[in-house]
Amino acid sequence: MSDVRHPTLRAQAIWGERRAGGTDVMDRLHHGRIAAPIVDLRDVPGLDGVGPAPGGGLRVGSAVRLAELAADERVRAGWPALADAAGGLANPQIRNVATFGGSLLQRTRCAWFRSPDFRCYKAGGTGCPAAGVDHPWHAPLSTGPCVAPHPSTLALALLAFDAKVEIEPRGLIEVAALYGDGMAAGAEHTVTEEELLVAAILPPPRPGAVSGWFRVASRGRAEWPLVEVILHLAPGFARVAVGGMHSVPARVPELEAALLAGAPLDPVVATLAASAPHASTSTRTKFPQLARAVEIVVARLGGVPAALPAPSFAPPAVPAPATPAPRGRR
Amino acid sequence: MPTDRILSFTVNGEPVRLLVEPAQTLLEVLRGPLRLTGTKHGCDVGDCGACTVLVDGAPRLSCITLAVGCEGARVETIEGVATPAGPDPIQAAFDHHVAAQCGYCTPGFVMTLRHLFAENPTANEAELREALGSNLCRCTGYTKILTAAREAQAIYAGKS
Ligand SMILES: Cc1cc2nc3c(=O)[nH]c(=O)nc-3n(C[C@H](O)[C@H](O)[C@H](O)COP(=O)(O)OP(=O)(O)OC[C@H]3O[C@@H](n4cnc5c(N)ncnc54)[C@H](O)[C@@H]3O)c2cc1C
Ligand code: SF4
Ligand code: FES
Ligand code: FES
Repeated sequence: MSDVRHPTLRAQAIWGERRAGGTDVMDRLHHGRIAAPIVDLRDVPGLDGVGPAPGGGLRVGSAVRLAELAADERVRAGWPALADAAGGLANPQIRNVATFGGSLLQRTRCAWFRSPDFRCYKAGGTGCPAAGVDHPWHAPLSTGPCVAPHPSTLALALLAFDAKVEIEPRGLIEVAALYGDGMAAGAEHTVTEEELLVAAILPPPRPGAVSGWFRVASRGRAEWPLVEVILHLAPGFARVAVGGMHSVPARVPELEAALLAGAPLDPVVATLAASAPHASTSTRTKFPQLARAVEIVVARLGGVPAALPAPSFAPPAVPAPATPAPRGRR
Repeated sequence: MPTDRILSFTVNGEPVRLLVEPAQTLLEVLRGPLRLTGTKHGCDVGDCGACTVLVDGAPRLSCITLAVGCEGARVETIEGVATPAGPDPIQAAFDHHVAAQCGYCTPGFVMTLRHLFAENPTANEAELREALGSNLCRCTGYTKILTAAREAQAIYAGKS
Protein backbone atom coordinates (compact mmCIF):
# COMPACT_ATOMS: atom_id res chain seq x y z
CA MET A 1 0.00 0.00 0.00
CA SER A 2 1.47 3.34 -1.07
CA ASP A 3 1.98 6.16 1.37
CA VAL A 4 0.50 9.58 0.57
CA ARG A 5 2.28 12.81 1.51
CA HIS A 6 0.63 16.25 1.59
CA PRO A 7 3.46 18.79 1.32
CA THR A 8 2.67 22.47 1.78
CA LEU A 9 5.77 23.86 0.06
CA ARG A 10 6.69 23.69 -3.61
CA ALA A 11 10.22 22.60 -2.75
CA GLN A 12 8.83 19.53 -0.95
CA ALA A 13 6.56 18.46 -3.79
CA ILE A 14 9.23 16.24 -5.34
CA TRP A 15 10.46 12.65 -5.10
CA GLY A 16 7.44 10.50 -5.65
CA GLU A 17 4.42 10.12 -7.88
CA ARG A 18 2.72 13.49 -7.90
CA ARG A 19 -1.05 13.44 -7.57
CA ALA A 20 -2.98 16.46 -8.86
CA GLY A 21 -6.56 15.44 -9.75
CA GLY A 22 -5.59 11.79 -9.44
CA THR A 23 -7.59 10.58 -12.43
CA ASP A 24 -4.54 8.95 -14.01
CA VAL A 25 -2.57 8.22 -10.83
CA MET A 26 -5.43 6.34 -9.13
CA ASP A 27 -5.91 4.16 -12.20
CA ARG A 28 -2.21 3.20 -12.14
CA LEU A 29 -2.35 2.68 -8.38
CA HIS A 30 -5.24 0.25 -8.82
CA HIS A 31 -3.30 -1.61 -11.49
CA GLY A 32 -0.32 -2.04 -9.19
CA ARG A 33 1.73 0.32 -11.30
CA ILE A 34 2.79 2.76 -8.56
CA ALA A 35 5.39 1.79 -5.99
CA ALA A 36 6.69 5.24 -5.02
CA PRO A 37 4.98 7.31 -2.33
CA ILE A 38 2.24 9.55 -3.65
CA VAL A 39 2.94 13.26 -3.28
CA ASP A 40 -0.44 14.99 -3.25
CA LEU A 41 -0.22 18.51 -4.70
CA ARG A 42 -3.50 19.57 -3.02
CA ASP A 43 -1.89 21.93 -0.50
CA VAL A 44 1.02 23.11 -2.67
CA PRO A 45 0.73 26.87 -3.28
CA GLY A 46 1.19 28.84 -6.48
CA LEU A 47 0.02 26.27 -9.02
CA ASP A 48 -3.49 27.64 -9.43
CA GLY A 49 -5.12 30.34 -11.47
CA VAL A 50 -5.51 31.68 -14.99
CA GLY A 51 -4.10 35.17 -15.52
CA PRO A 52 -2.45 37.53 -17.97
CA ALA A 53 1.08 36.83 -19.15
CA PRO A 54 3.42 39.64 -20.19
CA GLY A 55 2.75 40.88 -23.73
CA GLY A 56 -0.95 39.98 -23.89
CA GLY A 57 -0.68 36.24 -23.49
CA LEU A 58 -2.23 34.00 -20.85
CA ARG A 59 -0.70 32.03 -18.00
CA VAL A 60 -2.54 28.87 -17.00
CA GLY A 61 -1.51 27.30 -13.69
CA SER A 62 -0.93 23.56 -13.63
CA ALA A 63 -3.55 23.00 -10.92
CA VAL A 64 -6.38 24.61 -12.93
CA ARG A 65 -9.18 22.06 -13.40
CA LEU A 66 -10.17 21.16 -16.95
CA ALA A 67 -13.77 22.29 -16.32
CA GLU A 68 -12.50 25.70 -15.14
CA LEU A 69 -10.26 26.01 -18.18
CA ALA A 70 -13.16 25.16 -20.50
CA ALA A 71 -15.39 27.79 -18.88
CA ASP A 72 -12.81 30.58 -18.68
CA GLU A 73 -14.00 33.51 -20.84
CA ARG A 74 -10.44 34.62 -21.66
CA VAL A 75 -9.52 31.16 -22.91
CA ARG A 76 -12.76 30.86 -24.87
CA ALA A 77 -12.16 34.19 -26.57
CA GLY A 78 -8.45 33.98 -27.34
CA TRP A 79 -7.63 30.28 -27.59
CA PRO A 80 -11.02 28.62 -28.33
CA ALA A 81 -9.64 25.23 -29.38
CA LEU A 82 -8.01 24.85 -25.96
CA ALA A 83 -11.30 25.61 -24.21
CA ASP A 84 -13.26 23.28 -26.51
CA ALA A 85 -10.85 20.39 -26.02
CA ALA A 86 -10.70 20.90 -22.23
CA GLY A 87 -14.51 20.91 -22.14
CA GLY A 88 -14.98 17.96 -24.48
CA LEU A 89 -12.48 15.28 -23.48
CA ALA A 90 -13.20 12.44 -21.05
CA ASN A 91 -16.43 13.04 -19.10
CA PRO A 92 -17.84 15.83 -16.90
CA GLN A 93 -16.76 14.27 -13.63
CA ILE A 94 -13.22 13.65 -14.82
CA ARG A 95 -13.07 17.26 -16.03
CA ASN A 96 -14.28 18.51 -12.63
CA VAL A 97 -11.24 17.04 -10.88
CA ALA A 98 -8.53 16.52 -13.53
CA THR A 99 -5.98 19.32 -13.78
CA PHE A 100 -4.29 21.02 -16.70
CA GLY A 101 -0.85 19.87 -15.47
CA GLY A 102 -2.00 16.29 -14.97
CA SER A 103 -3.53 16.22 -18.42
CA LEU A 104 -0.17 17.24 -19.91
CA LEU A 105 1.86 14.75 -17.86
CA GLN A 106 -0.52 11.78 -17.70
CA ARG A 107 0.90 8.41 -18.63
CA THR A 108 -0.13 6.31 -21.60
CA ARG A 109 -3.41 4.37 -21.49
CA CYS A 110 -1.84 1.47 -23.42
CA ALA A 111 -3.51 -1.67 -22.06
CA TRP A 112 -0.22 -3.57 -21.90
CA PHE A 113 1.38 -0.78 -19.90
CA ARG A 114 -1.55 -0.62 -17.48
CA SER A 115 -1.59 -4.40 -16.99
CA PRO A 116 0.51 -5.67 -14.09
CA ASP A 117 1.26 -8.80 -16.15
CA PHE A 118 3.64 -6.99 -18.52
CA ARG A 119 6.73 -4.88 -18.04
CA CYS A 120 7.21 -2.91 -21.22
CA TYR A 121 9.61 -0.05 -21.97
CA LYS A 122 7.28 2.45 -20.35
CA ALA A 123 7.05 0.34 -17.19
CA GLY A 124 10.83 0.15 -16.87
CA GLY A 125 11.22 -3.06 -18.89
CA THR A 126 13.09 -3.78 -22.08
CA GLY A 127 10.52 -4.75 -24.70
CA CYS A 128 7.12 -3.94 -26.13
CA PRO A 129 4.50 -6.72 -25.96
CA ALA A 130 2.28 -4.64 -28.26
CA ALA A 131 4.86 -4.58 -31.05
CA GLY A 132 3.53 -6.29 -34.15
CA VAL A 133 -0.04 -6.37 -32.82
CA ASP A 134 -2.44 -5.01 -35.42
CA HIS A 135 -4.60 -2.64 -33.38
CA PRO A 136 -6.38 0.59 -34.35
CA TRP A 137 -5.33 2.35 -31.14
CA HIS A 138 -1.68 2.11 -32.12
CA ALA A 139 0.26 5.11 -33.37
CA PRO A 140 1.55 4.48 -36.90
CA LEU A 141 3.72 7.60 -37.04
CA SER A 142 5.55 6.83 -33.80
CA THR A 143 9.28 7.14 -34.45
CA GLY A 144 10.52 5.12 -31.47
CA PRO A 145 9.75 1.53 -30.46
CA CYS A 146 6.64 2.40 -28.35
CA VAL A 147 3.48 2.33 -30.48
CA ALA A 148 1.09 3.76 -27.88
CA PRO A 149 -0.38 7.12 -28.90
CA HIS A 150 0.42 9.99 -26.57
CA PRO A 151 -2.65 10.47 -24.36
CA SER A 152 -2.71 14.24 -23.96
CA THR A 153 -5.28 16.19 -25.97
CA LEU A 154 -4.33 19.49 -24.36
CA ALA A 155 -0.69 19.04 -25.33
CA LEU A 156 -1.92 19.28 -28.93
CA ALA A 157 -3.54 22.62 -28.13
CA LEU A 158 -0.32 23.90 -26.58
CA LEU A 159 1.61 22.86 -29.70
CA ALA A 160 -0.93 24.49 -32.00
CA PHE A 161 -0.69 27.75 -30.04
CA ASP A 162 3.13 27.71 -29.76
CA ALA A 163 2.83 27.77 -25.97
CA LYS A 164 5.68 27.37 -23.52
CA VAL A 165 5.68 25.57 -20.18
CA GLU A 166 7.23 26.64 -16.92
CA ILE A 167 9.09 23.81 -15.21
CA GLU A 168 10.61 24.37 -11.79
CA PRO A 169 13.63 24.61 -11.53
CA ARG A 170 14.39 24.10 -15.25
CA GLY A 171 12.68 27.29 -16.47
CA LEU A 172 10.51 28.17 -19.45
CA ILE A 173 10.73 25.58 -22.24
CA GLU A 174 9.06 24.91 -25.58
CA VAL A 175 6.27 22.34 -25.59
CA ALA A 176 8.28 20.18 -28.01
CA ALA A 177 11.08 20.03 -25.40
CA LEU A 178 8.56 18.90 -22.78
CA TYR A 179 7.88 15.77 -24.81
CA GLY A 180 11.03 15.06 -26.81
CA ASP A 181 10.99 13.38 -30.21
CA GLY A 182 9.54 10.01 -29.17
CA MET A 183 12.75 8.07 -29.74
CA ALA A 184 13.07 7.37 -26.01
CA ALA A 185 10.39 4.75 -25.37
CA GLY A 186 10.55 4.89 -21.56
CA ALA A 187 8.60 8.07 -20.78
CA GLU A 188 5.79 10.25 -22.08
CA HIS A 189 7.53 13.50 -21.11
CA THR A 190 10.82 14.89 -19.83
CA VAL A 191 9.72 16.16 -16.39
CA THR A 192 11.80 14.41 -13.71
CA GLU A 193 10.90 13.52 -10.12
CA GLU A 194 12.86 16.57 -8.99
CA GLU A 195 10.90 18.97 -11.21
CA LEU A 196 7.44 20.47 -10.99
CA LEU A 197 5.23 21.69 -13.82
CA VAL A 198 4.07 25.12 -12.67
CA ALA A 199 2.17 26.68 -15.59
CA ALA A 200 1.84 27.06 -19.34
CA ILE A 201 2.18 30.40 -21.13
CA LEU A 202 0.05 31.02 -24.21
CA PRO A 203 1.32 33.74 -26.55
CA PRO A 204 -1.18 36.49 -27.47
CA PRO A 205 -3.77 35.60 -30.13
CA ARG A 206 -2.64 36.33 -33.71
CA PRO A 207 -4.67 38.84 -35.75
CA GLY A 208 -7.42 37.05 -37.65
CA ALA A 209 -6.72 33.71 -35.99
CA VAL A 210 -9.27 30.91 -35.68
CA SER A 211 -8.86 27.52 -34.05
CA GLY A 212 -10.79 24.29 -33.62
CA TRP A 213 -10.73 20.70 -32.39
CA PHE A 214 -12.20 17.50 -33.80
CA ARG A 215 -11.82 13.84 -32.93
CA VAL A 216 -12.72 10.53 -34.51
CA ALA A 217 -14.03 8.32 -31.70
CA SER A 218 -16.41 5.42 -31.32
CA ARG A 219 -18.47 7.25 -28.69
CA GLY A 220 -19.21 10.94 -28.27
CA ARG A 221 -18.36 11.07 -24.57
CA ALA A 222 -15.98 9.37 -22.17
CA GLU A 223 -14.01 7.77 -24.96
CA TRP A 224 -10.46 8.06 -26.23
CA PRO A 225 -10.04 9.18 -29.82
CA LEU A 226 -8.66 7.10 -32.66
CA VAL A 227 -7.49 10.30 -34.30
CA GLU A 228 -7.84 13.90 -33.18
CA VAL A 229 -6.70 17.23 -34.54
CA ILE A 230 -6.31 20.77 -33.27
CA LEU A 231 -5.98 23.46 -35.91
CA HIS A 232 -4.83 27.02 -35.40
CA LEU A 233 -5.09 29.10 -38.56
CA ALA A 234 -4.42 32.75 -39.33
CA PRO A 235 -3.66 34.61 -42.55
CA GLY A 236 -0.53 32.94 -43.97
CA PHE A 237 -0.19 30.74 -40.85
CA ALA A 238 -1.24 27.16 -40.08
CA ARG A 239 -0.64 24.80 -37.18
CA VAL A 240 -2.01 21.25 -37.31
CA ALA A 241 -1.38 19.18 -34.17
CA VAL A 242 -2.45 15.56 -34.40
CA GLY A 243 -3.27 12.98 -31.71
CA GLY A 244 -3.65 9.23 -31.94
CA MET A 245 -0.90 8.94 -34.54
CA HIS A 246 2.36 9.55 -32.63
CA SER A 247 3.88 8.48 -29.31
CA VAL A 248 4.49 12.17 -28.54
CA PRO A 249 2.18 15.12 -29.21
CA ALA A 250 3.19 16.30 -32.68
CA ARG A 251 2.46 18.76 -35.44
CA VAL A 252 2.24 17.54 -39.02
CA PRO A 253 4.07 20.15 -41.14
CA GLU A 254 3.03 18.40 -44.38
CA LEU A 255 -0.65 19.08 -43.58
CA GLU A 256 0.11 22.66 -42.56
CA ALA A 257 1.85 23.28 -45.89
CA ALA A 258 -1.03 21.72 -47.84
CA LEU A 259 -3.59 23.93 -46.07
CA LEU A 260 -1.59 27.05 -46.81
CA ALA A 261 -1.20 26.02 -50.46
CA GLY A 262 -4.87 25.07 -50.79
CA ALA A 263 -3.73 21.60 -51.85
CA PRO A 264 -5.82 18.43 -51.37
CA LEU A 265 -5.05 16.47 -48.20
CA ASP A 266 -5.52 12.89 -49.44
CA PRO A 267 -2.19 12.72 -51.31
CA VAL A 268 -0.47 14.14 -48.22
CA VAL A 269 -1.84 11.50 -45.85
CA ALA A 270 -1.20 8.79 -48.46
CA THR A 271 2.49 9.77 -48.49
CA LEU A 272 2.56 9.78 -44.69
CA ALA A 273 0.96 6.32 -44.62
CA ALA A 274 3.44 4.95 -47.14
CA SER A 275 6.39 5.88 -44.96
CA ALA A 276 4.78 5.34 -41.52
CA PRO A 277 7.16 3.34 -39.28
CA HIS A 278 4.35 1.35 -37.61
CA ALA A 279 1.68 1.11 -40.30
CA SER A 280 -0.57 -1.95 -40.05
CA THR A 281 -3.89 -2.94 -41.61
CA SER A 282 -5.80 -1.22 -38.78
CA THR A 283 -3.66 1.86 -38.41
CA ARG A 284 -3.69 2.53 -42.17
CA THR A 285 -7.39 3.32 -41.81
CA LYS A 286 -6.47 6.28 -39.59
CA PHE A 287 -4.83 8.25 -42.41
CA PRO A 288 -8.01 9.01 -44.39
CA GLN A 289 -9.70 9.73 -41.03
CA LEU A 290 -6.96 12.26 -40.32
CA ALA A 291 -7.58 14.03 -43.65
CA ARG A 292 -11.35 14.13 -43.03
CA ALA A 293 -10.86 15.41 -39.46
CA VAL A 294 -8.71 18.31 -40.70
CA GLU A 295 -11.24 19.11 -43.43
CA ILE A 296 -14.09 19.11 -40.91
CA VAL A 297 -12.33 21.62 -38.68
CA VAL A 298 -11.41 23.82 -41.66
CA ALA A 299 -15.05 23.79 -42.80
CA ARG A 300 -16.30 24.62 -39.29
CA LEU A 301 -13.86 27.51 -39.12
CA GLY A 302 -15.16 28.90 -42.42
CA GLY A 303 -12.12 27.94 -44.49
CA VAL A 304 -8.43 28.73 -44.26
CA PRO A 305 -8.15 32.49 -43.59
CA ALA A 306 -6.98 34.23 -46.74
CA ALA A 307 -3.43 35.49 -46.69
CA LEU A 308 -3.26 39.23 -46.14
CA PRO A 309 -3.46 41.07 -49.48
CA ALA A 310 -0.13 42.15 -50.87
CA PRO A 311 0.52 45.86 -50.23
CA SER A 312 -1.00 47.96 -53.04
CA PHE A 313 1.79 50.51 -53.05
CA ALA A 314 5.11 49.78 -54.68
CA PRO A 315 7.55 48.74 -52.01
CA PRO A 316 10.61 50.95 -51.85
CA ALA A 317 13.38 49.61 -54.02
CA VAL A 318 15.91 47.81 -51.93
CA PRO A 319 19.37 48.59 -53.19
CA ALA A 320 21.23 45.49 -54.30
CA PRO A 321 23.89 44.58 -51.81
CA ALA A 322 27.19 45.98 -52.89
CA THR A 323 29.50 43.27 -54.12
CA PRO A 324 32.39 43.31 -51.75
CA ALA A 325 35.60 44.14 -53.45
CA PRO A 326 37.84 41.12 -53.67
CA ARG A 327 40.28 41.19 -50.91
CA GLY A 328 43.74 41.50 -52.14
CA ARG A 329 46.34 39.28 -50.73
CA ARG A 330 48.49 40.97 -48.33
CA MET B 1 5.04 1.15 6.36
CA PRO B 2 2.49 3.94 5.81
CA THR B 3 0.54 4.81 8.94
CA ASP B 4 -3.24 4.90 9.01
CA ARG B 5 -4.97 8.25 9.45
CA ILE B 6 -8.11 9.28 11.26
CA LEU B 7 -10.84 10.46 8.90
CA SER B 8 -13.80 12.47 10.19
CA PHE B 9 -16.66 13.29 7.85
CA THR B 10 -20.41 12.91 7.54
CA VAL B 11 -22.09 10.22 5.49
CA ASN B 12 -25.77 10.75 4.75
CA GLY B 13 -25.90 13.23 7.60
CA GLU B 14 -24.29 10.91 10.20
CA PRO B 15 -20.90 11.93 11.62
CA VAL B 16 -18.33 9.20 11.05
CA ARG B 17 -14.81 8.84 12.44
CA LEU B 18 -12.60 5.94 11.43
CA LEU B 19 -9.04 4.87 10.64
CA VAL B 20 -8.18 4.71 6.95
CA GLU B 21 -5.06 3.76 5.03
CA PRO B 22 -3.48 6.78 3.29
CA ALA B 23 -4.11 5.53 -0.26
CA GLN B 24 -7.55 4.02 0.40
CA THR B 25 -10.32 5.33 -1.82
CA LEU B 26 -13.63 6.74 -0.68
CA LEU B 27 -15.30 3.81 -2.45
CA GLU B 28 -13.27 1.29 -0.45
CA VAL B 29 -14.16 3.02 2.81
CA LEU B 30 -17.88 3.24 1.96
CA ARG B 31 -18.22 -0.36 0.84
CA GLY B 32 -15.74 -1.80 3.36
CA PRO B 33 -15.83 -0.58 6.96
CA LEU B 34 -19.02 1.47 6.49
CA ARG B 35 -20.87 -1.41 4.77
CA LEU B 36 -22.63 1.00 2.39
CA THR B 37 -22.63 -1.34 -0.60
CA GLY B 38 -25.25 0.59 -2.57
CA THR B 39 -22.41 2.54 -4.21
CA LYS B 40 -21.13 0.18 -6.88
CA HIS B 41 -17.61 -0.85 -7.77
CA GLY B 42 -17.47 -1.00 -11.56
CA CYS B 43 -14.30 -0.18 -13.46
CA ASP B 44 -12.27 1.29 -10.55
CA VAL B 45 -10.62 3.80 -12.90
CA GLY B 46 -13.07 6.63 -13.60
CA ASP B 47 -14.67 5.24 -16.76
CA CYS B 48 -18.13 4.04 -15.74
CA GLY B 49 -19.70 6.26 -13.06
CA ALA B 50 -21.16 3.34 -11.06
CA CYS B 51 -19.33 4.63 -7.96
CA THR B 52 -20.74 8.18 -8.15
CA VAL B 53 -21.49 9.80 -4.79
CA LEU B 54 -21.94 13.45 -3.82
CA VAL B 55 -19.08 15.11 -1.92
CA ASP B 56 -20.11 18.51 -0.55
CA GLY B 57 -22.97 18.42 -3.03
CA ALA B 58 -20.87 17.72 -6.15
CA PRO B 59 -20.79 14.37 -7.96
CA ARG B 60 -17.51 12.53 -7.50
CA LEU B 61 -16.22 9.21 -8.78
CA SER B 62 -15.48 7.61 -5.40
CA CYS B 63 -13.17 4.97 -6.93
CA ILE B 64 -10.57 7.61 -7.79
CA THR B 65 -11.18 9.87 -4.77
CA LEU B 66 -8.78 9.49 -1.85
CA ALA B 67 -10.66 8.93 1.41
CA VAL B 68 -8.19 11.15 3.33
CA GLY B 69 -9.10 13.97 0.93
CA CYS B 70 -12.68 13.87 2.31
CA GLU B 71 -11.72 15.09 5.78
CA GLY B 72 -14.59 17.29 7.00
CA ALA B 73 -16.65 16.64 3.86
CA ARG B 74 -20.36 15.95 3.53
CA VAL B 75 -20.75 12.69 1.61
CA GLU B 76 -24.09 11.50 0.26
CA THR B 77 -24.66 8.02 -1.11
CA ILE B 78 -27.63 6.18 -2.60
CA GLU B 79 -28.53 4.90 0.89
CA GLY B 80 -29.39 8.47 1.90
CA VAL B 81 -31.66 9.26 -1.03
CA ALA B 82 -35.00 7.69 -0.07
CA THR B 83 -36.90 9.06 2.91
CA PRO B 84 -39.22 7.24 5.34
CA ALA B 85 -42.05 8.67 3.20
CA GLY B 86 -40.87 6.73 0.17
CA PRO B 87 -38.40 6.66 -2.68
CA ASP B 88 -37.02 9.80 -4.26
CA PRO B 89 -38.89 10.82 -7.46
CA ILE B 90 -35.82 9.75 -9.46
CA GLN B 91 -35.96 6.28 -7.96
CA ALA B 92 -39.72 6.11 -8.51
CA ALA B 93 -39.34 7.17 -12.15
CA PHE B 94 -36.61 4.59 -12.76
CA ASP B 95 -38.96 1.97 -11.33
CA HIS B 96 -41.95 3.18 -13.33
CA HIS B 97 -40.07 3.22 -16.66
CA VAL B 98 -38.00 0.07 -15.99
CA ALA B 99 -34.88 2.20 -16.41
CA ALA B 100 -32.87 -0.37 -14.45
CA GLN B 101 -32.21 -3.86 -15.74
CA CYS B 102 -29.24 -5.36 -13.93
CA GLY B 103 -29.27 -2.21 -11.80
CA TYR B 104 -25.54 -1.95 -11.36
CA CYS B 105 -25.32 1.51 -12.91
CA THR B 106 -28.50 2.84 -11.26
CA PRO B 107 -27.10 4.29 -8.00
CA GLY B 108 -24.59 6.29 -10.03
CA PHE B 109 -27.27 7.64 -12.37
CA VAL B 110 -29.51 8.56 -9.42
CA MET B 111 -26.73 10.48 -7.66
CA THR B 112 -25.75 12.32 -10.85
CA LEU B 113 -29.38 13.33 -11.44
CA ARG B 114 -29.83 14.45 -7.81
CA HIS B 115 -26.99 16.86 -8.34
CA LEU B 116 -28.23 18.03 -11.74
CA PHE B 117 -31.77 18.75 -10.54
CA ALA B 118 -30.42 20.60 -7.48
CA GLU B 119 -27.98 22.68 -9.49
CA ASN B 120 -29.88 23.20 -12.73
CA PRO B 121 -33.58 22.32 -12.25
CA THR B 122 -34.47 23.51 -15.76
CA ALA B 123 -31.69 21.55 -17.52
CA ASN B 124 -32.54 21.12 -21.20
CA GLU B 125 -32.09 17.91 -23.18
CA ALA B 126 -28.49 18.71 -24.13
CA GLU B 127 -27.59 19.56 -20.53
CA LEU B 128 -29.26 16.39 -19.29
CA ARG B 129 -27.32 14.23 -21.74
CA GLU B 130 -24.09 16.06 -20.94
CA ALA B 131 -24.56 15.56 -17.19
CA LEU B 132 -25.15 11.84 -17.71
CA GLY B 133 -22.01 11.62 -19.87
CA SER B 134 -20.06 10.25 -16.89
CA ASN B 135 -22.39 7.27 -16.37
CA LEU B 136 -22.33 4.13 -18.48
CA CYS B 137 -25.18 1.63 -18.75
CA ARG B 138 -24.58 -1.61 -20.60
CA CYS B 139 -28.18 -2.89 -20.39
CA THR B 140 -30.86 -0.32 -21.09
CA GLY B 141 -29.64 1.56 -24.14
CA TYR B 142 -30.18 4.82 -22.18
CA THR B 143 -33.61 5.61 -23.70
CA LYS B 144 -35.54 4.54 -20.61
CA ILE B 145 -33.05 6.28 -18.34
CA LEU B 146 -33.58 9.54 -20.23
CA THR B 147 -37.37 9.10 -20.10
CA ALA B 148 -37.23 8.45 -16.35
CA ALA B 149 -34.92 11.42 -15.84
CA ARG B 150 -37.30 13.77 -17.68
CA GLU B 151 -40.27 12.54 -15.63
CA ALA B 152 -38.34 12.94 -12.38
CA GLN B 153 -37.25 16.42 -13.43
CA ALA B 154 -40.89 17.42 -13.94
CA ILE B 155 -41.82 16.08 -10.48
CA TYR B 156 -38.87 17.92 -8.90
CA ALA B 157 -39.97 21.11 -10.69
CA GLY B 158 -43.54 20.69 -9.40
CA LYS B 159 -42.30 20.25 -5.81
CA SER B 160 -40.17 23.39 -5.73
C1 LIG C 1 -12.94 7.88 -19.58
C2 LIG C 1 -11.75 8.77 -19.73
C3 LIG C 1 -11.49 9.36 -20.97
C4 LIG C 1 -10.40 10.20 -21.13
N1 LIG C 1 -10.18 10.81 -22.34
C5 LIG C 1 -9.13 11.66 -22.49
C6 LIG C 1 -8.87 12.31 -23.72
O1 LIG C 1 -9.58 12.11 -24.71
N2 LIG C 1 -7.81 13.15 -23.81
C7 LIG C 1 -6.99 13.39 -22.74
O2 LIG C 1 -6.05 14.17 -22.86
N3 LIG C 1 -7.20 12.78 -21.56
C8 LIG C 1 -8.25 11.93 -21.42
N4 LIG C 1 -8.44 11.31 -20.21
C9 LIG C 1 -7.42 11.42 -19.19
C10 LIG C 1 -7.56 12.61 -18.28
O3 LIG C 1 -7.58 13.80 -19.04
C11 LIG C 1 -6.35 12.59 -17.37
O4 LIG C 1 -6.43 11.46 -16.53
C12 LIG C 1 -6.27 13.84 -16.52
O5 LIG C 1 -6.17 14.99 -17.31
C13 LIG C 1 -5.07 13.80 -15.60
O6 LIG C 1 -5.12 14.92 -14.75
P1 LIG C 1 -5.03 14.73 -13.17
O7 LIG C 1 -4.93 16.08 -12.57
O8 LIG C 1 -6.10 13.86 -12.68
O9 LIG C 1 -3.61 14.01 -13.10
P2 LIG C 1 -3.02 13.01 -12.04
O10 LIG C 1 -3.57 11.66 -12.22
O11 LIG C 1 -3.07 13.60 -10.69
O12 LIG C 1 -1.50 13.05 -12.53
C14 LIG C 1 -1.13 12.60 -13.83
C15 LIG C 1 0.41 12.63 -13.94
O13 LIG C 1 0.87 13.97 -13.96
C16 LIG C 1 1.85 14.19 -12.97
N5 LIG C 1 1.66 15.56 -12.51
C17 LIG C 1 0.47 16.18 -12.32
N6 LIG C 1 0.67 17.47 -11.99
C18 LIG C 1 2.02 17.65 -11.97
C19 LIG C 1 2.85 18.78 -11.71
N7 LIG C 1 2.33 19.98 -11.40
N8 LIG C 1 4.19 18.63 -11.80
C20 LIG C 1 4.72 17.43 -12.10
N9 LIG C 1 3.99 16.33 -12.34
C21 LIG C 1 2.65 16.44 -12.28
C22 LIG C 1 1.59 13.13 -11.94
O14 LIG C 1 2.78 12.78 -11.24
C23 LIG C 1 1.10 11.96 -12.78
O15 LIG C 1 2.18 11.20 -13.27
C24 LIG C 1 -9.53 10.45 -20.03
C25 LIG C 1 -9.77 9.84 -18.80
C26 LIG C 1 -10.86 9.02 -18.63
C27 LIG C 1 -11.08 8.38 -17.30
S1 SF4 D 1 3.14 0.31 -26.93
FE1 SF4 D 1 4.43 1.44 -25.49
S2 SF4 D 1 3.22 1.53 -23.62
FE2 SF4 D 1 2.30 -0.10 -24.89
S3 SF4 D 1 3.36 -2.01 -24.29
FE3 SF4 D 1 4.56 -1.16 -25.97
S4 SF4 D 1 6.15 0.10 -24.96
FE4 SF4 D 1 4.53 -0.29 -23.44
S1 FES E 1 -16.09 2.37 -10.52
FE1 FES E 1 -15.63 4.48 -10.39
S2 FES E 1 -15.95 5.18 -12.40
FE2 FES E 1 -16.18 3.04 -12.61
S1 FES F 1 -28.98 -1.49 -15.91
FE1 FES F 1 -27.31 -2.83 -16.21
S2 FES F 1 -25.66 -1.44 -16.51
FE2 FES F 1 -27.35 -0.14 -16.46
